[in-house]
Amino acid sequence: MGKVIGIDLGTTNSCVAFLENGEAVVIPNAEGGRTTPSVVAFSKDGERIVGSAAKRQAITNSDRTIFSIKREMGTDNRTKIDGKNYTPQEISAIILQKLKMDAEAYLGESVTDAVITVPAYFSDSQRQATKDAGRIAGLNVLRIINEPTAAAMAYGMDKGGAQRIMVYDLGGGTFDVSILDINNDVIEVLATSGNNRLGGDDFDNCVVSWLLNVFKRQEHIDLSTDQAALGRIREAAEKAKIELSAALSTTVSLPFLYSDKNGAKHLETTLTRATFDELTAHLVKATTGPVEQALRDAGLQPGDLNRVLMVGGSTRIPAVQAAVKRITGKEPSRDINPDECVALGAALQGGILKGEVKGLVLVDVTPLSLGIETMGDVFSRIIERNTILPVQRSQIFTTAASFQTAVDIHVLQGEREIASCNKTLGRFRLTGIRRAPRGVPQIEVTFSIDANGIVHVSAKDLGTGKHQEITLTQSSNMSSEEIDRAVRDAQRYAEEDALRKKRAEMQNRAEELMYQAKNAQKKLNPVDKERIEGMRKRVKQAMDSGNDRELKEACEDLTDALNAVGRYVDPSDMDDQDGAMDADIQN
Amino acid sequence: MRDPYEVLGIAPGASDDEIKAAYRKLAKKYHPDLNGGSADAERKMKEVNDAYTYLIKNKGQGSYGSSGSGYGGSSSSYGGYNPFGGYGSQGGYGDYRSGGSSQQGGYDFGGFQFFNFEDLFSGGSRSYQSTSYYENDPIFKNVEQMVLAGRYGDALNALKRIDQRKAAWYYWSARANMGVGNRLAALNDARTASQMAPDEVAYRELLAQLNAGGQAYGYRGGSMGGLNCCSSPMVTCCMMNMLCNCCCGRGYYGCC
Repeated sequence: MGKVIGIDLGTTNSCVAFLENGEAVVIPNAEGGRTTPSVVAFSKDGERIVGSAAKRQAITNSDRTIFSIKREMGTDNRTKIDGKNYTPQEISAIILQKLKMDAEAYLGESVTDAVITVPAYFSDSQRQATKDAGRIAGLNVLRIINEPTAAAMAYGMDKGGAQRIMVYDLGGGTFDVSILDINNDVIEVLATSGNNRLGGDDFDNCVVSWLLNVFKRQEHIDLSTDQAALGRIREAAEKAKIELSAALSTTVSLPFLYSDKNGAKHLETTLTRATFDELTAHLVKATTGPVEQALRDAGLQPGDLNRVLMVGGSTRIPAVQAAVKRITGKEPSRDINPDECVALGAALQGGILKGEVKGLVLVDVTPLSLGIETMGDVFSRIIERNTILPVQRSQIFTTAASFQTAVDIHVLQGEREIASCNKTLGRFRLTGIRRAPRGVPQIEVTFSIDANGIVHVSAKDLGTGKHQEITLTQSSNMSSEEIDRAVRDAQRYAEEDALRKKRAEMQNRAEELMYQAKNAQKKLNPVDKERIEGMRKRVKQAMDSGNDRELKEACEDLTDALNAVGRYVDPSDMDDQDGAMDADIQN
Repeated sequence: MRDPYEVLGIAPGASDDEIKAAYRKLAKKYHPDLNGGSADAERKMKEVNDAYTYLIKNKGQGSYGSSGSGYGGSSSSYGGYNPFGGYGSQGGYGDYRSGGSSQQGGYDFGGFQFFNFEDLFSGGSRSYQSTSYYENDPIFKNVEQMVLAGRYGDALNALKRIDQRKAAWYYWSARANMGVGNRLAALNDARTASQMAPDEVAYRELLAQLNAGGQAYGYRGGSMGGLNCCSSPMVTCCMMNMLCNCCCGRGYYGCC
């Protein structure tokens, strides 16, 4: 049985964990980092770069670098690179692929099963999009779980006693509040609320516009359309924000930010924490609404909470901590790592699903209300938000018009009273209703959500027994053919990447061989020297021409020749890669 | 119909703590995650969740009766008989619209009749949230939410605190009373509401339904005719479009 990994697919950073002897452990990435920036870039020659390498090159390649793709999940927005339109799912899949590969390299075995986290307030289509991304990346997504819930699991794992905790999760792009009850190894989500478009990125943006204003005041130059300068300012803004969590003021210094005929212009200014707090006060304030909502939905007063857990990098901001303390009257707990606990919780949930973790169970709720559209664009709720899963609910509806023989079941999710303002999950039609005056036919509509969060809707005419149903497993903006194609594309790119890597390795080997040959030539008799020189030139030519097979043969000949004269030094691990390289290059 | 106390294996009148402890025990036993996703476990867990929700979250009120897992009596108890929109009596589908709205030409503009332009464009926080005029009074917004959420007891308590008793007060009181099963009070309130505002279709219909035999109609956002602030369906239609643009043009996130 393969290992299951837990993935926190974040807006700005992602993290992977797995279970080692029943304990969740973070898997470091190939670069040694414990989190991986959720950044994807396409280099000029079409190579895909993910993570810190992509983040580093963003300034010089800004139009081919994609940040914060999580904010686009569930939308129809496409990113166009080299004539190909990428869905948010496909971009996310590139990040997931990297995480999967790093995990495989670390664990030394292939990994397919994963639990991926999403903000608690993600809608069904955003969850489906996340699931699709996993599928495209070659992962079997066992479960999508909520980030605050995952954090609470990581926290509550060894806390025996009964506790009621609030998780305040302010990440890079999303804000979630969940209230949970942990008692006797049962983790029960009481209520959840949030804002899908509020996070650390917004704090950065406030600082960015402030810096732009400073520069405008000092130099009378507007940099807001200068992508390269903006990239540097954005980076400096994020750095300043982070520094202000510890210091009371910080210096932003961006030399040579702009230059014209009057010479180079620099940006040098001091940002104090007080100014920062003032710039971002509206963002901090925007988090109070969801906190109050969650308390109200859970039927609790702030005093009923035992603990407030802070999750997400943005909760390091002192003003955020102060606000949480003010609303809840509690000193926020910081005894979990806000960047890693979500992935750890996801790994734990993976362990539960695989039967590796015993006794612990998570009782989750649905974050948004579900219902159907009824006459007059009214949204009729059938399952209220914060209903415990799994659940099944039915309601009887009737016809709006006399002798109506069909009804359209328009399945919606959201909190608005107006149906068209909510999100469509799907629709189907129930036909063959017996002709009758309006209000007479009885149509039973049943909603069911399983523990995986998959929604199933059926409608039944109680008069005729006619029945129609739909299972909502597909995100609305990608058909299954599109997903299949994306899966194939992703596999092809993974193979191309592998080939690219092998080619680079071969080039390295060729250079190494040429260096060895050059050294050896000094100590050889003229005949051998001449022979080796000829071979060395052949390797060089093959390298320049980019002919892989020729290069491989030339390298082999040169290796043999060097061996024959006793001058070959074997770079240890080359041999076993040879066979694989053969197969790939001949394909 | 099974007694929720029986489902949870506890004595009727058990304390909240006892209910919760029993629930946790059953969750550990039946949660599908711990049973390899078994369908039987899922069915059982749904039943347990329903009973628990009924006893703890809804405090004995609300939609236990409408659960699909075999509880709660007749389908007409609390469920609500909401008419589907958008289908003509003609039986043909030629003119049925598959767009975001279920409106059909010249027919059934109910619901939208209640918007007025000030509300639509003022940008106020409650602008797009009401479905009918009786909710445009912010006092009833909370009550409405409680009634829709099945928290009828809370709704009645909230109503008690409102001194100004307009027709809308009696309407919501009727619906809340209906929710808790007090049909007589519901009938009286619906009658009063209808007398105070005889032109209001929703009130009249509520009364008619209560008279007709107590089938609880959940939501009836108005029906034919009775366009209050707009004189013709065309204007309403136009407004509806603008409304949709207002609400949805900002994209899903901005709106919800």
